[in-house]
Amino acid sequence: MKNKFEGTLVLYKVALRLSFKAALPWIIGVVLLAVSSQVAYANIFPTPEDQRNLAMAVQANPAFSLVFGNADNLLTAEGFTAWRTVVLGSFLVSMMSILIVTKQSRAKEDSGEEELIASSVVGRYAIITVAIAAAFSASIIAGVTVAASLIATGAGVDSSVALGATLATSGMVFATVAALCSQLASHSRAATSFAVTFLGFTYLLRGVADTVDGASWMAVLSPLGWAQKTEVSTTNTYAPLFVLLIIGLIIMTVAYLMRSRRDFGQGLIADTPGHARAGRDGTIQGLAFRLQRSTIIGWTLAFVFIGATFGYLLTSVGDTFGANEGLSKFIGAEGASNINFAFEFAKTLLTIIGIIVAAYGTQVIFRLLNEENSHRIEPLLSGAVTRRRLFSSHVIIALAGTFSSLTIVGVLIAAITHINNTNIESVEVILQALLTIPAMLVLVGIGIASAGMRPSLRGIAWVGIAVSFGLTILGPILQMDDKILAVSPFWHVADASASNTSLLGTVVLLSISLCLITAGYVGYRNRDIART
Amino acid sequence: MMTENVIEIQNLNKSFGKFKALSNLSLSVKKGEVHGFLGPNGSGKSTTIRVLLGLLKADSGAINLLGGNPWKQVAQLHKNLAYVPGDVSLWPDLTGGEAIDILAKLRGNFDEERREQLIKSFELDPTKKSRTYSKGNRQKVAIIAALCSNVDLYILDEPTSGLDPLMEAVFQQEILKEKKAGKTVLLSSHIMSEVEALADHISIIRDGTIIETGSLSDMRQQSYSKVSAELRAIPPDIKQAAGVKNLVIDGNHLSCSIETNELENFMKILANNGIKSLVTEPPSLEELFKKKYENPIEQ
Repeated sequence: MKNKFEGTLVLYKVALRLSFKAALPWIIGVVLLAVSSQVAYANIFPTPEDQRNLAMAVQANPAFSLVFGNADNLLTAEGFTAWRTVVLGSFLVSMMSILIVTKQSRAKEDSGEEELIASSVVGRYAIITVAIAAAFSASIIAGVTVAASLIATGAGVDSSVALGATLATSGMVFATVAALCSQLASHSRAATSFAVTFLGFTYLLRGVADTVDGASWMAVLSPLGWAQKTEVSTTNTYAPLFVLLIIGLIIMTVAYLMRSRRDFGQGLIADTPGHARAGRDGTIQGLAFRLQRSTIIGWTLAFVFIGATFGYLLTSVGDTFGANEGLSKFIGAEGASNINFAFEFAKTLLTIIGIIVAAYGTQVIFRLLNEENSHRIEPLLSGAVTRRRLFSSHVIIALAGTFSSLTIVGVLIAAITHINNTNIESVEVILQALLTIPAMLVLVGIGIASAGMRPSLRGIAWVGIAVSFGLTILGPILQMDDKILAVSPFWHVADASASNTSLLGTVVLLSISLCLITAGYVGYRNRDIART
Repeated sequence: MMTENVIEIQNLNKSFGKFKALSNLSLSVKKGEVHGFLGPNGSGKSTTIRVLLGLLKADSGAINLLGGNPWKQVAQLHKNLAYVPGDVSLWPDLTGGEAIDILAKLRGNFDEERREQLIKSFELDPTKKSRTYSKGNRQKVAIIAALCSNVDLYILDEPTSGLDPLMEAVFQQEILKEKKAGKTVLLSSHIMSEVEALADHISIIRDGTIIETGSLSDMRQQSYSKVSAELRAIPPDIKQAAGVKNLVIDGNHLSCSIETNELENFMKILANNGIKSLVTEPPSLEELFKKKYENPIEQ
């Protein structure tokens, strides 16, 4: 038995180093989520009255329960932090775990890297063990970091530790789920999508349990439901975490049993044969669409979900939140009158969605660079295809996908708020969504320009997105100067509800986008393709 | 002047940063010939081919491909050429059949019948997802996609790496078919038997420049045959015989290398001294190229 694990320790050290880089953004995200909640609470809801208002508002709106779970205790900062972090944070840590496991195990099998390792003095279980151990380590590091940062900001030790333990346990359970999926699927991408789909499903399951009357029993079917049962900041119960660990252990055992039975490079679910002929995919646009298909479908579904959730969120926000000055600051609508408060909120939500849409567009355009790095562009360009047409085939998808996504979200929010008789003008919401497009286009334009001119500088596109996000979320709270806020293209978005709104900003944003996109085309025409 | 040559490169230079990949490279490929393009790893073969495909922009030099400029007239020229890379990377979610269709249709001039025939000859299962293909099978997909297009020029960059010997034979047959039909082939390869079987003309590249170009028989002439013989007596002036190298004498036995065009005279000398046994080996391409790859560039 022992020799089946031989080499685990050596490989673990390598895996840990490689995983750390992948894990870092997720860990930072979770820590920011927890710490920002802890710190913001005192500033936004300073008086007991504010806090009671918050609790009432949260209870009144099922959208909150759907996303964050039911709130046990919003009268303390720890309770607020727990409410914001337990479900969403567990989701993030679990996502990180899944990506680490498939990357360290199944992806290596596909690339042939594991073959090289497996042929040396390494036991059969070494790689799966290393992958799970790396994900466990990352989850524990995430939990410890969250707990330590919260304690450092002055949060209660008990609830901080309980929160950290909950996050770490969720991550560990989903590491075992990913290990199991890696045995079932026939390749790494399928393994990742099985595990992520399962995570999304369990997230939704507990969301239903939290919002639908009589469905609360469904929470026991979801690991995230069990994570909520720790009741961080009220009872800090650890028993549910032990249940989760036992479930994880069972899943892990099954995964090991499957590993010992399956062939290298094969999954228990085999690849089905596909079409012998290309049909409609046999054009350059058809190919681009085929390559981006799962990206398009995934993001579109996500935006339908986001649009619907935000629509429900808006239905009650105008009434219950209007009086809270801190929250007005939080969303950047300070000084807005109660009447157009809801619209200001809608505008902020659309800005946040616009930034997410920009990330979608950037991901689409960077797919072209991945294709280039994988040497799949040379065979295309050695056919009778101009670079302009190849570049266009992905730019078109980026533009059409982002335009339609923002429109879908706008229409959904408008429709849902309209059905629920809020005082928000449907036409204005849709118009506002359309006015957000030029700002989003600038961020996507940076991606297009860097992909065309200098792929090594593609990071600038992500920096642009991160800066816009930071300025939108934090700028108003930190009361930043307008000159700094103006760096974000979204600051220049016109207001659809204003009677005499100026479209100068919109025109400037569109001109900048056009310049960036043109620069991308010119750059792509003139640079070396696949230099190495 | 350039009407006859399908590829005409003069003094091509290309650098990547400080690294000079190609320096004053000149190469001509005549219409209707299979042109072997040889050289050690990292000598600039693939860079040259990528410049020809319009993927890389030349720093300087004159390039004429099928009577046009490969950087400027990409789409127009590529209707008339097909390319097979040495390390084929396919879209993992698409089947081999779909990949063939996409690659071939993008070029135009697509021959359905030839496609079916090639899939049969190469024994490819076109319904399998590309990610499940072995290296050899991926290679087949690229070869089929190239050969089912009716074009004038094939640019093949180590096209058979990963093919088994049976498939290698099928490949050679198919290339000879194209050659008979008057097509031109630029064949970069490390497989000497393949080059020997297919190529009429050969260019050898080293450190980014062509160090040797000529027909196979010309190259053979410059190379050495091996001779091993037992004589009644070794003539004392044998060392002075024209074209002799690496002479080793052991009693009445001698072995040496001899320039192929001096072989006849050398045999006369041996015959005059009573041959008891004689073995000669013709120059192998392998030896020839090893010599060219290893030695410093001769002026």
